Amino acid sequence: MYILNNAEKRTYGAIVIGSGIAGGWAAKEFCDKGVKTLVLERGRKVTHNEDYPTTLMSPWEFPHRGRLTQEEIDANPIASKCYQFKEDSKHFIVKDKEHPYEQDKPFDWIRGYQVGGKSLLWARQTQRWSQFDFDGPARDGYATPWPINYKDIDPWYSHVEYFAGISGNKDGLDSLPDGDFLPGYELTCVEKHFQSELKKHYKDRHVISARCAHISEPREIHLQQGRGRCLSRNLCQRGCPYGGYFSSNASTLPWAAKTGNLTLRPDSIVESVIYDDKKKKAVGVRVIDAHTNEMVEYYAKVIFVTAAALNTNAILLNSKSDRFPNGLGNDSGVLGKFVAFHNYRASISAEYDGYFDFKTEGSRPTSGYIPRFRNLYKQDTNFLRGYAAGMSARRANTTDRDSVGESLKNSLLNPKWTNWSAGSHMMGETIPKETNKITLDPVKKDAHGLPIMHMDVSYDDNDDKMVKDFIEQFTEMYTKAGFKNIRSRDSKQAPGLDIHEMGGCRMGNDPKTSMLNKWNQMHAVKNVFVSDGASMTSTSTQNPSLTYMALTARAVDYAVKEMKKGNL
Amino acid sequence: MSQITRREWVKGMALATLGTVAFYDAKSLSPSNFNFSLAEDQTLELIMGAIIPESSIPGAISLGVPNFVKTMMKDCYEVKAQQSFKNVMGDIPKLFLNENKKEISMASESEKEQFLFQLEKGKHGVEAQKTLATLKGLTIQGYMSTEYIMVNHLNYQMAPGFFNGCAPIKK
Repeated sequence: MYILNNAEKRTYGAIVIGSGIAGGWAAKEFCDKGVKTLVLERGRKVTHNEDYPTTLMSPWEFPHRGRLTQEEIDANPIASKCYQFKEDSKHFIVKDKEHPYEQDKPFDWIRGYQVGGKSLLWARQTQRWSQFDFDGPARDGYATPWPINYKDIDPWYSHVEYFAGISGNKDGLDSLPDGDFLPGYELTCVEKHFQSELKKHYKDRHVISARCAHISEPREIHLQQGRGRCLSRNLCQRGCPYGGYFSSNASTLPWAAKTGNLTLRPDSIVESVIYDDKKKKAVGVRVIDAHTNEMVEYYAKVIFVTAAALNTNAILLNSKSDRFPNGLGNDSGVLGKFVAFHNYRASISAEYDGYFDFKTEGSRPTSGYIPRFRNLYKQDTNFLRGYAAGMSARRANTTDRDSVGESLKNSLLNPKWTNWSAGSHMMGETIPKETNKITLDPVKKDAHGLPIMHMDVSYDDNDDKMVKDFIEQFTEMYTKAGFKNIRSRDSKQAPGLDIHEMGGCRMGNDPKTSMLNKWNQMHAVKNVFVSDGASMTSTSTQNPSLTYMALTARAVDYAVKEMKKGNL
Repeated sequence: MSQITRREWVKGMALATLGTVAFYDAKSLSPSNFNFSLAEDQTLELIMGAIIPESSIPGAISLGVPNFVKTMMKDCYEVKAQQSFKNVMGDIPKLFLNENKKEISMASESEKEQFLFQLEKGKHGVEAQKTLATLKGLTIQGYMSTEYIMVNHLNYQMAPGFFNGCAPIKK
């Protein structure tokens, strides 16, 4: 049905592998610029609103009130660790048996194989990187220097913020540059209290309202996308009926489709990128049909590999030719190496005795945020780089459940306010290392005949020191701000569960130590670009999706200019 | 890690594409053989009716919470916990009879409440104590998440559309 024998009909201006946050942006930018674009998605079709089966369900309509069945937990020891893998959104997360991999070291790989990928499930936090973040590797010599600076990406941050809809305040911090924001969300009384206490006790520690990809007030550009204001349901993982948060499904993909330039092909697993030794460039991709395992080739002038960080690495490692026996563009041997992630192990909770006459009302789609303050301007601790932190304070209802009968019922229906409780979790930068890598099994294959991936990624001494410092610093900060019952925790969660895996196909100026140049373009294969998490040279502390969006839009702009010059 | 057979894969994909209905039919999720006998069912309702009784505000039974508890027991607990649950439901009428010299079905609310306190305190053993804790937890969860209670008593709003981070509490 899909198979067309005519190669011409299978030829496009651009091929984009993957339809998640990066792929969706590549599609939108190419289509806006008039390039016929094929988007290949390995998972099933998920159309905005049509395929959000749980989105309007009330709590009482879920047979298990959100909980997984014992059978589902037993069958999915990895996926069930993910906070999103619950009764209302489990259909958007890959089950353990669907795509097995080998854990040479413990690694929880959380994936979303469907049109839109993990953009349906992401945490929607969108903080910009600052120049300090780009400077990290060059300053301390760990990993290769970034080939771009903040000023290179600044206009592209604005470009994607304007379209996606990012809410936030202009906070004027050099550690976290301001952007093109919709009105920000409010902090709670106790978050504001913490904010002013930190200001009193420290000169470098700030609580801000975290910038998020939610439409607090739609602009014309959002209405044109058919998206409306976020109504703070906090049920985002089900898909949003209003398009209140940014996803490929609600935003970039339908926009690209409207141009008439988009062909979206779900159920299409990319086996490899085809390199032509004579033409000295990539000419297309080999695709396996997810249902029939039939193979078909598609061709294009330019190829964007945005399949999510580790799958991007796997596709490139599997793209072997006489010219590139170790994977496409892998002259340096760094492909699959220098994988990094975010250290989310530590968290802290506390209570505040005060503001008894106040509560919160309604809901908001974000929380407070404390930008990185460690090793920001110079190296000033015994570990490299730093961490940011989430921060929120709320007041909950409580009921006395000791009794039974009528008095229990009375207590349940007349809840009382608890003290204000507050909490923070760390978001730490990890250092990309050659030993943190993914490889392909030389023998074992998956159900589609593709090599099984091996994950060999772990924490190091730097990460442990950072966890210790976070706990010390935040205990001190909450103590100074007058909180009590301060409790900290190291979850020891395995890498991967942060769902911020990055690297393996990093950018850099030197082709001997990096895969991509400053345009996310392969040093060795000029018509192949990688602009998802795989391209990250270092990880900094911010939730990374906004940076993938900006890098992608910037890379497409460059690719189209190069196409017009006849260089690709 | 084991690889899946092609057949399983196709089956999985077919389920995935079917979408809506397949995911919410509780029966299709669990092949568990766990079931309640009629007597256990009656005991369950007697206990749940005592935990959250009927009054001017409907209680756990008239709001259909027993079905929720049974679905949860069947689908979300390990075999060992299920077996304990069945054992205790089976034992309760005898325990009550020994203690009160009357059938639990004939007991007053306060007699049943007294009995539940004893179970909670562990007077009838650890298994009964744990089971009652589970049952009470599920009863409260089920009751508080019924449409009636959420809409009429808890002011449930799916889409509040506003946020006030510092709202005065009206005295």
